[in-house]
Amino acid sequence: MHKGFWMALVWTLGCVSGAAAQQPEVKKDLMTSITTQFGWSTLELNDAYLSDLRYSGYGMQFNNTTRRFLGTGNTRFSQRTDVTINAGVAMNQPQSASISYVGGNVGYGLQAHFKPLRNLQLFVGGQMDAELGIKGYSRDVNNAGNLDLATNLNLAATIRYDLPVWKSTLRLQADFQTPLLGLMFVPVRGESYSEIYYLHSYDNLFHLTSLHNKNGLNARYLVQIPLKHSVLNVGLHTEYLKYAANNMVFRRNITSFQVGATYDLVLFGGRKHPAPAGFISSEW
Amino acid sequence: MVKRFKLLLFLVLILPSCVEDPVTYPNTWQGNFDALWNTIDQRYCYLDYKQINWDSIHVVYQNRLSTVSNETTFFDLMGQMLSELKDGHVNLYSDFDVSRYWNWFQDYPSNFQAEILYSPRYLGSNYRIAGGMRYGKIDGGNIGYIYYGDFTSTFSNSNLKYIFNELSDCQGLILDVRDNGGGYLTAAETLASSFFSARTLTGYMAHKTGNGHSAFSKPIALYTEKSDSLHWSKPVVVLTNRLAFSATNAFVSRMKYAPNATIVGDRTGGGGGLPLSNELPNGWLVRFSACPMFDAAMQHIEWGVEPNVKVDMRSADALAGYDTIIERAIALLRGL
Repeated sequence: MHKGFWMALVWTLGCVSGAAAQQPEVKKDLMTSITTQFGWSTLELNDAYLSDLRYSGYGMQFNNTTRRFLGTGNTRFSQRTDVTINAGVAMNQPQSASISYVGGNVGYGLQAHFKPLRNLQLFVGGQMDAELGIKGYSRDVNNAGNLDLATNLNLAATIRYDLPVWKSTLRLQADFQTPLLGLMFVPVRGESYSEIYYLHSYDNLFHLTSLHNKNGLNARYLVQIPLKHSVLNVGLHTEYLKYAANNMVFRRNITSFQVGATYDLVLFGGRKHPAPAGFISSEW
Repeated sequence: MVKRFKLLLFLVLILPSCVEDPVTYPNTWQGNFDALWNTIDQRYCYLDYKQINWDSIHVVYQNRLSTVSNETTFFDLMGQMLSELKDGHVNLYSDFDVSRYWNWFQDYPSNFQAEILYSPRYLGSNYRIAGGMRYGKIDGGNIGYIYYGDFTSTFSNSNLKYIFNELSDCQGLILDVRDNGGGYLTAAETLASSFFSARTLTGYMAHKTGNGHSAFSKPIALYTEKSDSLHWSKPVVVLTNRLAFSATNAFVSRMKYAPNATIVGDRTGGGGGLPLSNELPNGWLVRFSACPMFDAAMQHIEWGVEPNVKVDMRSADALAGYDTIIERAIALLRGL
């Protein structure tokens, strides 16, 4: 009885291993998921360097997010990049002056993936970003504009829920970032940019930031609708940012209604990662 | 896991309350008055230097606020309050008027008559124009003369090069900045550098670092560099009057330290504070002096720069077609 059992086990293992040895090795490639969004925005600015008044207006937003796992053998962590560009014009309430705003933010981060429930994914991690914004003020009295310049370490979290609807699956996604630590440039109130530039007056321009002087919440809510050849995104992006330095308080609130698409790319290139034989390139 | 998520949610919701909201004022007479008074209280740079009791002024004008009946009377009242600062750099801008303080030149002789300047004895009508400068030779070709009436009307190094070449055979130069109400400080520095043979300390500047009346940064030294490409090494006389204001005031302050330079005319009008602005809830804009400037001896130049040779125009000379101040400059350059 025992002998028969062992013979059957050895035969089974031999068959399985033989079958496995005959299968061709499947080469894995990492895909990069890209979400590109365009939006129409409302804009609220408080810039105490330029004026004590709040400015409100409209603008446009472009956002591009890429995400991919760290490696083919590591699907617990993903890396993401974000590029956001805002442009808009805001006016004070009496409509007597305007601020033109153009700003960009680039970020890179890592997030750990969790699946606490069926259809639910949770990504948590950090992100470093760099930000540059230029404000042009229509009332130029030696303060024709101001710069927003900062770098932040953000806490970043993403929640995804795949909602089965009839023959398809809608993906609901909420993405949050909040600044924890960083460095920012804020000019001294009463010191013009010409004074900074010509007199090399650099005191009190750069400030370490943490939760005591900079608060923000950058939230993006997306509904991803799978179509025949692509994934359509409809969403809302809200940014609430408030920071204080040099006896001034600044605020930037942007709400953007967005549409866009999500698509996947596999990137080939170089000697170590050439395109497989089935791929035809116009370059190589 | 759930605990961590709750903690994260708690932090995200609670932390945005750490930074206080910007101070805002309602768009009422009282709100606009408070916004204006506080702007000057916290950001105007000469309250201590001019020994202005701004708290008392608040009491006086707060009491008069009850007399305001419409936008115009409110504007006039706020304009009067700002006039207490006695500063030509302080203005209130509305859609229907600009408040101003002009006593800094109206209480003094004008010391300038354009029609005499353009008479055949001086510039005449065949003068040349380069950038914002009008120039020619006077006194039979012995003296070069430049009239520069606006530091916002800029000039290039090439302009100056042609002017200096044209006047190079003159024994001296008159640089007339009378009635020049100011403009770009950078233009003032560039022009002054043409008359310096070495880098020279010519002043200081400070800026406010807090809301207190005496909260200033350490003064920053202002040097006038020697121009690399241009240099007027012969004697130069700078003509001034009370309407030489702001950037012109700063230019004259620098020129007091230039070798071979003499300041002739009346004390300049001042305007030693770099102006900045703020807005009131009703959309009006207030301009005010924010950064004080000093000469190289750390003396304020807010009240003007004294000339080396004080000369006022005589009415008898003016009637005869003579500009007393130019005539005195010619005499100085001739060595008379």
